[in-house]
Amino acid sequence: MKFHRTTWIAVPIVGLTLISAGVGWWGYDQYREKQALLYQSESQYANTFHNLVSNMQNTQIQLAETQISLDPATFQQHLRTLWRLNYAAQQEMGRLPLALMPMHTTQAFLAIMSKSVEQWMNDSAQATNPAVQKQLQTYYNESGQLRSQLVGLQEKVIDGNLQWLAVNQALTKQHEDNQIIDGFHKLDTVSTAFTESKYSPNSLHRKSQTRSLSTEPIVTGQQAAHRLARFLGSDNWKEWSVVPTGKGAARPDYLIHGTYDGSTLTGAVSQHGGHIIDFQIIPTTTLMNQKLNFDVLQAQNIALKFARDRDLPPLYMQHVQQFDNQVYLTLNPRYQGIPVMSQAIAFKVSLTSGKVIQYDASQYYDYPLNNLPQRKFSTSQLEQKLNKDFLIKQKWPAIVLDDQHHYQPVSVFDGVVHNETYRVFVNAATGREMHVDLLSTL
Amino acid sequence: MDSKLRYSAGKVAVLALMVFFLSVAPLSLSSVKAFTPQNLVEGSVGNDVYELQGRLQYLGYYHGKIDGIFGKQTNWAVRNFQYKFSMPVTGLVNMPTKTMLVKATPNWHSKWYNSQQTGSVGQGAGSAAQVVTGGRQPSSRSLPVVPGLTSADLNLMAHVVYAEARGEPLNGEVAVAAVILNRLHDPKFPHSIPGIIYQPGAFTSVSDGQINLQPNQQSMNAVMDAVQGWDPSHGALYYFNPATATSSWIWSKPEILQIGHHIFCS
Repeated sequence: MKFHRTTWIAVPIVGLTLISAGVGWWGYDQYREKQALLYQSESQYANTFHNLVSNMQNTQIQLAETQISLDPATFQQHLRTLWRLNYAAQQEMGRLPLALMPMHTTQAFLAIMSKSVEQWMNDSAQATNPAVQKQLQTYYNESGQLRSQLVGLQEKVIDGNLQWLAVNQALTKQHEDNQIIDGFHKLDTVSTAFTESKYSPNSLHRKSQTRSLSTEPIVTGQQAAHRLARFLGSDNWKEWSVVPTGKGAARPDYLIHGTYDGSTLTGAVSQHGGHIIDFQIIPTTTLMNQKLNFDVLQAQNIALKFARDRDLPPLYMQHVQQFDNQVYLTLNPRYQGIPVMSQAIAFKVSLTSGKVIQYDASQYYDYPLNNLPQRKFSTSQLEQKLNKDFLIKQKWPAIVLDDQHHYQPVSVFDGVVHNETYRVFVNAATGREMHVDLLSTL
Repeated sequence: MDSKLRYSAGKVAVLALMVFFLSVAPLSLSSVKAFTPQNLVEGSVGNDVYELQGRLQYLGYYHGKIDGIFGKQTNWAVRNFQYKFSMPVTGLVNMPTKTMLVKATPNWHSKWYNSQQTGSVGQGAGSAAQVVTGGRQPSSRSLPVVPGLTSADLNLMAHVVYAEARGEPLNGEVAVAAVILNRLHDPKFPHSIPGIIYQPGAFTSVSDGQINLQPNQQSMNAVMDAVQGWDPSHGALYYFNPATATSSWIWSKPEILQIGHHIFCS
């Protein structure tokens, strides 16, 4: 068949046009889908942010309302509302990008306030208590400043139609000129002043403390390595590397790295006083399914003997857990025969070699026992306060740190309810329940 | 002829008796082979503990879960058993306790054995040596739960450790897990493990999907070490890879130490 010349040109051109139209349509479809996802993500961030601002506003209002009423019943109600708003605001902050770091000091402030409110609820604090009123006033002022900063930022976001996704991009690409980021930076300078309040911002986890050892003399790196070597019974400590920790460490240590008995050794010795804080002996090859030459009871004796040979105080075996061919042991030092359960000295013993391969005594050195109140209630008296349905199997006196990081005498009760094992700590100075742990697996 | 016949008949009779006794003997020995020689005490895990819990439950001393972990309820059940059977009440399951327990539960069989019996009829004394403990693997490979953390939390942490720090030395992996725990206990961060891990921008492996990779045994071991108190990061809340991090904010954080490719900061 013979086609006209123009047909030979026209057909491919038309074909190409159709194909590119198809591709173009598909591309636009993809673009629309992507935009839809972006909008959804954007609206989630916006939702979180606006909720946060409104919660901060309500917190400030609620603080004022709490100050107004002196009636005990309504005071407690206000405290509960305060706690709820506070909690919601903290949750929302957790959903904003982490790199908006300035928000963290605001979050810390909210956490401190939350702890205070909890304490007041637990103690049934009186509205007429001047200390409570003073603290409420302080929180009101501080939250007021934070609120006005946030509201200012919110206005900018709404007026300028600022995008949250642009914030994320700017954070990752290091563009400094983003208004939302600037707004949060400003918030940071306002809220850093709040971190030293009467209910100090001690974290719930027991981080290292500088104060506990700082009165002791400083040892050199060489001396630190030598002490660790003596602790382990090793000779080639001269080949170990010693590096001091950086500025960010709460407790200045020497970090020691080397070989011991054919395995890698890492350890930490405190710069003040040269105390062995921790060490780990990591075998160069980890084999699974190795033969167990020792059992858990022998591991306990190995750990106790290790401690006795090194002049550690008499230890109480708090917790033992076998995992594969190793046993984790948590031991507590005793004070006048009573275990201090918040000072954990952790051991790990290998069931293959029967050696202590891990040791951590940081809590023992960071939280020395001091200011212990008198024990007012006996264990049998405190037992009366627990529900009879809670079948107590073991009970003993102990000393623990409370939420405010103060040592308290307690009685510990291990028992069974609903076929699960729970451990109850009851304060022996105040007679109030302090904490409950679930020990079995639900 | 006659004496030869009698002689060979005698030999055959002796042989038959020997075969009979040898086939019966394993059956009676099998129950003593139930436990391995290792002593059991609170904290042990393994097949022996399954056996122990099964037998104690059969006798009515133990009402908890048969999970192969010698926990407090198992301990109290053992003590009760020892008391009732006039043995020294130590909570330690040594050979005398094991023998007494096996003697007291002659009709107890492990689930594995029961399934074998119902499954195939032909199994007889030949597999008597295998009538030991059940064929279940000890749950030491899965992570025992700690007060305050659920198994989902530990699993999530293992995912993050694997995604963030695979290839790092062991203490580098433990340090990443320790950073997560340090954040859990710090007021500046969300109050739950999922909240910390999924906070936008907190971990790059969450942003790029690597967190969905299946963790290996080393990551789980690292999480276990961190949960049991080892903190190689010395209280760090942040970490970054100096070769890839460009954010001036993270570089401004006070440094604590470096492990492998990560610098840990407070």
